[in-house]
Amino acid sequence: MATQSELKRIADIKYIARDFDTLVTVLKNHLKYQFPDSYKDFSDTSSGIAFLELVAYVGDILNFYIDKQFNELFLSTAQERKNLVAVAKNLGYQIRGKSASNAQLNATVTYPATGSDTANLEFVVLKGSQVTTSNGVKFEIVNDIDFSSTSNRTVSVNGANTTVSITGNTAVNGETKQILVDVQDPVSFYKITLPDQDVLEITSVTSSDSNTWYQVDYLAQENQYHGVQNDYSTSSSVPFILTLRKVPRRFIIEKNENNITTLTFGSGTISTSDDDFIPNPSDFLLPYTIRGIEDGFTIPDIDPENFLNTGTLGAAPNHTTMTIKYRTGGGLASNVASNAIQYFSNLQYRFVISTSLSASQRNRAISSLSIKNPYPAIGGQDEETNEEIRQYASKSFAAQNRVVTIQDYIVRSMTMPSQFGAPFRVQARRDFNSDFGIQIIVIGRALDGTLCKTQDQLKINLGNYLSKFKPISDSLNITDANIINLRVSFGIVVNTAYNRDLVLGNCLIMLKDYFKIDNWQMGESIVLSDISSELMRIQGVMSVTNIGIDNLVDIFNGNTYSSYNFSIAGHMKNNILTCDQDEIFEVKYPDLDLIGGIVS
Amino acid sequence: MLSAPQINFKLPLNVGNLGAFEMNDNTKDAVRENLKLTILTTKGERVINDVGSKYNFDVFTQTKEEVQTAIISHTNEIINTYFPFLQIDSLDVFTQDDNNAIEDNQVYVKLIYSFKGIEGFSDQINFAI
Repeated sequence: MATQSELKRIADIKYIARDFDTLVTVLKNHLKYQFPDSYKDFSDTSSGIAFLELVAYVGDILNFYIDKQFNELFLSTAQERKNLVAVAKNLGYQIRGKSASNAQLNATVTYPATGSDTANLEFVVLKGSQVTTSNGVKFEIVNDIDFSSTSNRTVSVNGANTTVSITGNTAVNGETKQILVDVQDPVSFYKITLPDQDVLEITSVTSSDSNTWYQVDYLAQENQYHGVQNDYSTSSSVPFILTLRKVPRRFIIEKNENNITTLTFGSGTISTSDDDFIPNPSDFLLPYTIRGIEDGFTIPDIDPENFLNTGTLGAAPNHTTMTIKYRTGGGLASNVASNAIQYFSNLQYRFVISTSLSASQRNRAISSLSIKNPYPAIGGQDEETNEEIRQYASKSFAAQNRVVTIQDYIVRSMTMPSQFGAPFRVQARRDFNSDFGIQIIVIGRALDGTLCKTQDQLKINLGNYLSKFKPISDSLNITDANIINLRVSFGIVVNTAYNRDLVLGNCLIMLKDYFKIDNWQMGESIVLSDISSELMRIQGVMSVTNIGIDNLVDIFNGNTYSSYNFSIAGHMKNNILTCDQDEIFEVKYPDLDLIGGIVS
Repeated sequence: MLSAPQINFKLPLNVGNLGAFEMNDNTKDAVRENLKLTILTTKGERVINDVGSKYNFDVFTQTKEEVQTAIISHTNEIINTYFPFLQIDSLDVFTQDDNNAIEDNQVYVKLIYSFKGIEGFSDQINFAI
């Protein structure tokens, strides 16, 4: 049993004492309580208190670093950029570094109006050509500037000179660079750190064995979206077919707090099948010699490297020379003023009819070329501040790159790149025909702005696109919504002080706006009292006598409507017309299908 | 068992009879120890706590009179601030002019003090700066 003295010695330890003053107080109290006869001088001038303060000082320093390091673990409190970048990365946010500005360029050729030849217009300035300002801010031309094409080309004769301009040529700030890296034996997660700061993008990574390496978001991502030109009849609305391609040769990029970019490659060898999503655990956990023996086994050492030797995380380069092209630049300084871009610092061109042109003709054509940016270059941004990293990381974490909820499916569907087709409205709900099914309902718009069913290719593209984000257990069923075409009629009583036709016209204009399809979503109900209220707000309307709604199907009065039959009476309750989530109301021809009358 | 309550450490630190540091066990010695320690500690030497003297600054004063005035002023300040229970009975500052035994660039201070309200309880410390 503990004696009174022992109890006294373990009592009253203040673990919450963390700063200098509190520690001094606690230690003084401790001495007073535990050693009342051994030390009695607690004045500031005594040597004992000087020693005690030294102890408290060490305690304060240690607690400060504990607090500091603890704070550095969290996004909201981390102060050091290095830690902030690391925490943001854990939340799935990769800092972007500087952004490049864009400029619109006018390329101009001037030559004598008479006595000239056609050589002046027979060349193409190639994309990648470099233009610069007098301060040395460099831009690269994004698309070919083709003087032989009449597209965006204006010709004017000014006195003795003819001036030909091509407008709307996009240039992006930055400079393309290239490094070569010799790789010997394969190394898991081989890293290449680029020598430049402010890398805007990796343009290409190729190896001397004629392979292309693809950038992915994370090494476990073995598929990448790929757009294939759509040569079928649907190409007008869906110019590209979205496909997934396997990218066993892949890398990720990471930026550190100093804006240095590092490429990290995979860990496997290319001879291993990349289809092995998860290696067989039994191949790694149990030694061959004891597998299957009933009377137990010793737990073997697990070498994580064993799991990394598959192609699951991509291939590691080996015995090859990697060629990495990248662009550097960006920042606020890249937002240059109008007409600041004046020089070609690296002009690349080709002649369309090179065989029939003399060298002097070519030189004359090229020497007359000039470049200007009529508007300021905009869009350049410096790297994120610490506070911006904090905010963007929180946003990134909340938005996570995956779809789980119904809202996730809707939002993600709307973010599909438009070249793969853009549905006008998307709705999602549980698929009642499948336990784990999600029904995605889409609807498109025709050229005249009315609703129409989407192309099958769009639905295929959407399925491929969502497959990257959805849980593996979810099955997708992408269908078209049913279009319910309506005719709306109403009757009003007009104040005699107002022009009857004008009031009726205003009512029809209001309803046209009310039923504008941009304002409607799938599953959205029509509340008749809302329509009445809107009509009553029109000046001169004294009363709304009736509102009638009919469903128009197939051909009516020579116009084509949706073939979908919808019972108005069956869905009208308490003056609210409801529809299902896979249905959408539409007044297809507002000029014909909105009918108003004046009741005397 | 301790024969008398131990007040504070005797400086310099030595191992005492009880196996711990040698201690002062009477008020007079304890106060003397503290006063000596405070005088010999320059302000800023202690962590966080500002206890100490300003004599180091005084020695750079140009004339003997100014040095004496500064040292007396700062000694009074120490007594009033940290030892308000003491009174200065006499405070003398000597230089080489007063005594050849004192080294060049050095002043010698002789402080006699007593406890307020306690007769016959006086003490003296001498120190060189």
